[in-house]
Amino acid sequence: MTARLRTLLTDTPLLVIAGFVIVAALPSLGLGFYWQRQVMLIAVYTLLCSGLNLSFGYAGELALGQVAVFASGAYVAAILFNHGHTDILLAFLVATALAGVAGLISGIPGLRLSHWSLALVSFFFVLLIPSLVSILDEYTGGSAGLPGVLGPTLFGRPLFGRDFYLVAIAATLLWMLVLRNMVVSRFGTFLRVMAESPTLAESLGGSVHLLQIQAYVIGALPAGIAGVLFTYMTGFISPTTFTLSLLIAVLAATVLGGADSVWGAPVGAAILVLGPLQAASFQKYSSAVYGIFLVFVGVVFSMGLAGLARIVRRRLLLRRLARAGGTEAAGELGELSIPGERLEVAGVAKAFAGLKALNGVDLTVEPGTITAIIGANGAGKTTLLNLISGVLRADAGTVTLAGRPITGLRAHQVSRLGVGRTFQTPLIPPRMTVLEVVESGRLRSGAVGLLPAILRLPRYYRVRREDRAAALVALSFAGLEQLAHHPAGSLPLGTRRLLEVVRAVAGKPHVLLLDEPAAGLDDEGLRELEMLMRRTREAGGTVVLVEHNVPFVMSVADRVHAMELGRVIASGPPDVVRRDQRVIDSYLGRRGRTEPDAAPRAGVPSESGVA
Amino acid sequence: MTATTATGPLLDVTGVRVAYGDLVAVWEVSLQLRAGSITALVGRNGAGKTTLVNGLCGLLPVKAGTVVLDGRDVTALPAWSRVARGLTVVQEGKRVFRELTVRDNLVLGLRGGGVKRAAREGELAMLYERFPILGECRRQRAADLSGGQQQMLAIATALATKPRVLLVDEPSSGLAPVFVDLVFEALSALRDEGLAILLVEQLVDEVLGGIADEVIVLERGRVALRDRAANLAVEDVAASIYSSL
Amino acid sequence: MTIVWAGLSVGAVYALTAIGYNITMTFGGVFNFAHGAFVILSAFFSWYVMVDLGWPWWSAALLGAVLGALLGGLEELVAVRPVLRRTDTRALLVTTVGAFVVIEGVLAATWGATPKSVGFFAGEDAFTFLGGRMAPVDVWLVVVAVAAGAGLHLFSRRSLWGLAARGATSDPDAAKARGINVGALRAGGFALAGALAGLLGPLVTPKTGASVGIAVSMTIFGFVALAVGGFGSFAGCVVGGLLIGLIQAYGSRYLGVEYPPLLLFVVLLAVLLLRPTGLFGKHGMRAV
Repeated sequence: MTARLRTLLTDTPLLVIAGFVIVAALPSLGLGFYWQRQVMLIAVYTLLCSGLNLSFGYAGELALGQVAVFASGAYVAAILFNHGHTDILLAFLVATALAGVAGLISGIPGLRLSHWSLALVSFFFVLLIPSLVSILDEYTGGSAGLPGVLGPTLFGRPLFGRDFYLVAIAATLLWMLVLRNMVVSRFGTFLRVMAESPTLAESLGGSVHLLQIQAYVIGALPAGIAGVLFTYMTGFISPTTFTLSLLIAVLAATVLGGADSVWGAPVGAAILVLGPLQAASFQKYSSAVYGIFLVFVGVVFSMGLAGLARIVRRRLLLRRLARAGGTEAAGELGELSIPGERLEVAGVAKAFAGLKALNGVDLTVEPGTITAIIGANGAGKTTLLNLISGVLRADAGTVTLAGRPITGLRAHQVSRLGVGRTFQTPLIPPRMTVLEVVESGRLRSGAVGLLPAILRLPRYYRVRREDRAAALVALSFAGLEQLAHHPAGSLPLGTRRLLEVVRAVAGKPHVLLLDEPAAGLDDEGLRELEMLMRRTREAGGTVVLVEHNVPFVMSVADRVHAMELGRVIASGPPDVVRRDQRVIDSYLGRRGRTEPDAAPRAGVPSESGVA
Repeated sequence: MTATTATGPLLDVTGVRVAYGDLVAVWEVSLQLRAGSITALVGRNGAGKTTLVNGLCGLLPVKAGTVVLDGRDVTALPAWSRVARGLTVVQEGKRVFRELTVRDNLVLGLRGGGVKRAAREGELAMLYERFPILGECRRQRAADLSGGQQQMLAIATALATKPRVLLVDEPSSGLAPVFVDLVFEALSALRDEGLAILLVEQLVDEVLGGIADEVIVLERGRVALRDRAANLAVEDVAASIYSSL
Repeated sequence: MTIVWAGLSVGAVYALTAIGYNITMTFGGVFNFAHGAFVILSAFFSWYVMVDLGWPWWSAALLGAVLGALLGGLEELVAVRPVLRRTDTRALLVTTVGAFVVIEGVLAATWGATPKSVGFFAGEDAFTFLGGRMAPVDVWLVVVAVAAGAGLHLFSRRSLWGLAARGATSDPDAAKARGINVGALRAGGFALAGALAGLLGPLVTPKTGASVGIAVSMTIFGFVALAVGGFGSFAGCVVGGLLIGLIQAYGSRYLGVEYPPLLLFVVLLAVLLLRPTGLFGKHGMRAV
């Protein structure tokens, strides 16, 4: 119980809440009307920036529709007010619903198109605002605008002055906490993974399309809230507010605060409202300065102010952990049982541009064994892994996992059924800590759980505890516990390769597919990898290993399949395959001579890619 | 600094280290390529052969060491500029511009070699004469050629850049035997015309059966064995490549 | 018929903007978000040279071309090349949006405080043609847009430069290995697009006027023209531009001036969803 209380305490951003409480109390301490307005403006910009944080900073898509959604929220509030619906909660509700729809519209084309097509579709919204306002001028007042929208009600009580100020600050805080809870959860982890590598997100069981749509829709919501607040704050709206300049300013503030940070938003917003660019001498050139700033940030890809803060915090955290003598859960590591299942591949074939990369491959992998696949470049090994894991679709044949056909499923579906994998080039989001990377391997088990995460229900804490425990055990399999809080990007290549395996193991996969895990490892790394693989097998796991390093394969594998030109040419225990003449010929490059019937395999993509 | 290169190596590589990202795949390799000779580079998959070739031709940065082409240090030059100076690569996997016609592929090669427009048709005619199978299909898209024809086109395009040093990465990979013979014949002819050729090859028997003058075995990014081809038996090389199996 | 001519001439402006986008895509494989801003910059520059300085139109065209080429090349060097050196090129969107904002911001702070207009060098008198009224500038615009589209189509297909660009965008590494300077090609594309925008200033500005406010619509409608015509096709740019010009003219005439953006938004969504390759594009610029 005390432990749970402690988690609750450490998990709650007390400092931020305290900050908001102080801000809320400022008017009682004598903050004047002008400054109250400035603070509320910061709150409005904070909401706008926080939405961009989610879609651009976390999910990696530059959606430029934020100002249009802002406008829709503002007009919704004004129109409701003028029709006698003054309750601010109703306005929030309708505005967020509309914002969600706008996010959906701008997000759907993005699913099929490139990043910049999406940016332009959402940019189009800027142009639609004046157009829609004048088409609907009966409600919107056209270009003249709507005046006198002041004094909304909350449960029948009118809000003026300080009361409205309190509501504005409270609404902003509430949203920020919701956002923060979403970002610090499986959902947020998925978004960060997706921004680094969609392929990786799919392999961890996340549907990239669904995640993107969620990011757009959720990212649009705070702009709707901001619109409502803005209307009631100024009491007057007209289309001239919602311009390109505003969009640019919000974009710059977001990037300045740190696009992939929750608390960067209020900082960026405050600088935007109070900062030097508001000085009269600068204002004229503010837009140009924002532009230079965007180019600069894009080129050096700085992490914004929040990024700097994070580096400092991590340093402090590391020092504290070092003083405490190790990671929090050390000493109470549980067991990790990995429920391996039988994997059967039957008659699988795949051709690229009419040329056969796989030509009828059969193999069966038994639970609790390590099965290796060897063969020269272009033999079809990686193609086979990609077919099993759903990255590619087979032309013919079936793949079954524990008797259940998984042929034709998409990568994230295969992953959710229990197939974990690693990649030839390690896909490790560099800005996550090692522990976070390993925990991300747990994503494929169970739901993302957005609602439990937002409300921080007991279920969220239970899942998080389990994730943490499994991650620590998996790390200890490879002897990497002491690196848990280091940023993954700082690890050398060999350790990142091990980390990929650890991440897959933490997800307790029924089948674990390893794509050349030994490439580039030194002897020490090879030993650690071997230990990790043996432990995985002992825990019950089914391991499939594609590898060039033949001595390593021979020492670790229970069964070896040798492939050549898209077919299995020899199978059996390592000692038998090692002596097979066809395997030796294949490795000495005698294939063109010993197999006169071999068809030319022009155009088969090399094995270096994952897709 | 004008080195007399009449007898010296055309390409002098000293202690190069090449990394792919932060994975160092080639460690301090030195080699010399002489005019009118073929040096074969063999080794297991993942030994670093392609990485070395990409470092030499400028597609990957060289982290240490020098690449000197005919007395001139080209270590810091980009790939396109090395081509202009006579160092051309035939990349692995039949890398031709698939959407362009055979002729257009060759024209781009001539452009890279700085051939003037006026001389273009003559040069093309010579290339078609040397590679009759390309002359027959000069108007076809490269994507519609067979694998063997594509490989010949890749070599012909490289030749169009007027190289003095040619790096050829696994030209026989995935080819029917008849095309393998064609490729090796073409390379032999080029050697006899005075080119310095580095040939990355998996067919150990072929390499030692006459085409190579010198053999370098690469293992884990380092030179494991280096000798005149005549001094080596197939078993030596095989043992070196396959020793650990 | 007057509506048709009006639509075609506005459409020609969008077509020329789309051609500008397509140049950097064809020669450098990069979408330049800032191209609409180049068009607006060129409009103000024409006003400056022709009205403020009182120099002849051709000097505005020539100087505009030089300025556009320089700025285009500069953008490539500062905002594009450093990003392409990294593996994650998503930031290209941020930097080219940044370039757009810089140009727009500088203009807003200087010449752009008030909208400007420029007279057309070949006469202002409208005449009747095939039953519709049109001004000389309308004819010129359509003719120049078609000529530019056709010329660039031929240039990209036939010239050595175009050939090299097709190779470089399809396989940059193989292109480098063939002696093609891929970076120079891309910078050349940016310079060419900038030069085209600058060159056409004295022609486009009499139609559009010079104002910061139209930067957004120029950027977006140019993109719609490109999307409708098909990414990568110069012929498509012209057809797409003229088509959306007609939609805009008819929409304004029969529904009201506030409707065309809405109509074009629907058209854009429909094209992107139903036919991402556009009318003439071979391969849509799809996300992987």
